[in-house]
Amino acid sequence: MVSTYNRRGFLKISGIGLASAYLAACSVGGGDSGAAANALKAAFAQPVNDLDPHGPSSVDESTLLAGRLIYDTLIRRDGDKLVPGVATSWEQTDENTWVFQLRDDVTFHDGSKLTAGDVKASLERVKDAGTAQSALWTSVSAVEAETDTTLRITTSEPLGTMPVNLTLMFILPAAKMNEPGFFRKPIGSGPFRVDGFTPSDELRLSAVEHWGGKPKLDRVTLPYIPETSSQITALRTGELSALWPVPPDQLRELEGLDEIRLETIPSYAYYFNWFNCGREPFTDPRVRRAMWRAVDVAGIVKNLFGDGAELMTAPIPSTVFGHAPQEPYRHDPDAAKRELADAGLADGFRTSLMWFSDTGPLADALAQAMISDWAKIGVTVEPQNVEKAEWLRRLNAKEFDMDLQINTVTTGDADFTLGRLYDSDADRMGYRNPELDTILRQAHRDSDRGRREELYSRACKIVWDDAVGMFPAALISTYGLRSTVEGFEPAASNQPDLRGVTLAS
Amino acid sequence: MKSKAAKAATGVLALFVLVAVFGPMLAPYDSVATGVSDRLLPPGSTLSDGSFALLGTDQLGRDVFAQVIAGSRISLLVAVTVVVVGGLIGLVLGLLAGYYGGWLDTVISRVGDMQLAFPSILLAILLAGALGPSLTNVIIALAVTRWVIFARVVRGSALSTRNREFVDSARVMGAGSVRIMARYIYPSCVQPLLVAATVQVGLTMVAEAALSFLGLGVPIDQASWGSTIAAGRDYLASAWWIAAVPGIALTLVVICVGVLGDSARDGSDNTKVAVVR
Repeated sequence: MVSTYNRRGFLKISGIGLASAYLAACSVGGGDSGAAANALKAAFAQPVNDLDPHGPSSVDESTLLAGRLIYDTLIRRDGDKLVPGVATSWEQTDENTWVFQLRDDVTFHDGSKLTAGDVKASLERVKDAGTAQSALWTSVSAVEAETDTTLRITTSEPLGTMPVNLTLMFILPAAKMNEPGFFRKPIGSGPFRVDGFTPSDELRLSAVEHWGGKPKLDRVTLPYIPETSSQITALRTGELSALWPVPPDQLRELEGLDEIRLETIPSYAYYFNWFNCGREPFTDPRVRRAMWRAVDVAGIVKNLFGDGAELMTAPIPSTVFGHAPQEPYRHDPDAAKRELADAGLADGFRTSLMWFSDTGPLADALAQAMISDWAKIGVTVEPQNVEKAEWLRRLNAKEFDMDLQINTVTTGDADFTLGRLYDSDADRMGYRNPELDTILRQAHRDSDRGRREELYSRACKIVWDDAVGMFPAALISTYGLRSTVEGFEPAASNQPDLRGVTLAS
Repeated sequence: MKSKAAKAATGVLALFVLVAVFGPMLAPYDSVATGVSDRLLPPGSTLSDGSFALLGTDQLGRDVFAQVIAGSRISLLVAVTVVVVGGLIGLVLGLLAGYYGGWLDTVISRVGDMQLAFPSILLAILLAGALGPSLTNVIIALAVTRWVIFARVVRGSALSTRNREFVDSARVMGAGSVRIMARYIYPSCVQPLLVAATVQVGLTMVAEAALSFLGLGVPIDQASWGSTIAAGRDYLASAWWIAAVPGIALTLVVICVGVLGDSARDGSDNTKVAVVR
């Protein structure tokens, strides 16, 4: 049976419908505004693809950033210092054994208690995951939960980087972490609970009671905005309260605005340009050094990046433990030409440079500026600006002449970069040096900071003087913050701790 | 019958062609020669080496004016080559389909229909992505997406012509199929083909720019309007000239080609069927 309405009746009904919809919208909006005042909308320049902190994205900055908010670690990093997290204290009872005492007041977001058993399960999970982070744990031979609050880790060889590695090891609930679909809405014990997550789009979090104190914010939303210009606009219009890192070239669009504050901190991220030392003509260190001298690195870094980067003085950024300044390569095309002639390449040669555009800020410009300088000493470099997946495949297969990329010393410790990448066994760019291997392995085993520092300064010198790669610029992260945001502490790791952030209304 | 607009459009296009052909001799562009100390200078600046940048410099200190001129060469080259290649393929297949009909027509037309079911830019992205960035590959990718349009136009004309009396009489005189196609049917296809071609030149330029904008077009060491616009995207607020200059050039050329195509269509009566896509 179909009812019929005349026009007036229809208008009346639809009018009532519209009015009630409008009123409903008002009440929802009104109810939200109080809470919205204490909700932070902050964007990191890269998308969060995965919340599994042990999975394929385990050392991606964006996954680590989310992990810091959702999960806990045994040990936390506070500036240069390592401070207690879930572990209240730790000691190395002999060179292969570490014993940790854990807090007994830590609960997961579902109310269950965090015990040493969860830590054991998490560490074993990340060790067996076969990902970039697993490499940090290969020497762990046994993990025992002696009581609910005592954990013993045994290694097959001394692991000096144990405490610093543990700052990356996020603790998941052992009973649930292997359930299918767990990482769509994971449970952790960190200061924020996951309300909703759409990969590469948005992560919504809300604050919970935490052993370290409840965060001052009620909610945090981390949207991903793909276009740089849209990110900047969103910050300027107030749609975003915080944005980091702001690319160096966009800084002037934010400078001098009353409602926006810029804070900078040297980061763990830096550019390197590796030479494939296993391929002619880069097997000859003279050629590698000549390539470096040919490029006006200082000029390029200053003009391209301005305040957004600093000239590197070692193969790792100055913020990283183990950094030791080296003598810079001066820009000298004539010396470079002479060196090429000594190596039997007086007429120059042809080679190629591989990179992908999104590796870091101004990657295309940096690549082209270097290629331009190489052309001046007669070296023709074919620019191979490839897609990320293709770049990764070729990098792993060592199918490149030169590789330009951003690298991040995720742990803030030289072992993560020097120890992991330049060892002959790792064989990432064809460089082999037994002397360097010995130094790196020694530093990896030792847990004495003074001795490690000395070893890494020798390692820095070898990598630098042999020019395994060129090390142009270490990035300085700029955080764009609206003036309403208070207590936001920029982090060198690009993973700020949002617990202390407040929003002024 | 030519309108004022058509005359103006012809003038503008002729100017662009002249610039594309002779411009690089007057304002040479070298993508490798960068000067980072002169980057992002506004139009009318003087560079550190004393030269004058009429339209400013880009993010690597290269002259935008020279870059746009070099880009016009690539854009016009790609557009014309794609239309010629696609047009030839379309002409041959369209003639065969229209003249013989039957299963041959079915095969060619259905393949064409299937291809048209995809948005053409999507197909071009797929092909360009699979083939890798190079000028030849851009031309191949775009020609593949364009032949159908020409084939349809030609097939339509061939269908309507093949049963006309003069074709029948040629057949009675004993002319072979190839001769009939070449001498009697082909002439009636030329005009609609040309109209379709003018429209396609503009669309192809936009498609090339789109591919280059997405990083799938010409390699990074060659200038193209699309890639220059893409490079300028992040500087819209601080250095608008990088994206604006090639953008204006592209818009002008495409509008002029469109105006010309319109007037050509108005001038011919049996081409109202021309497929514009």
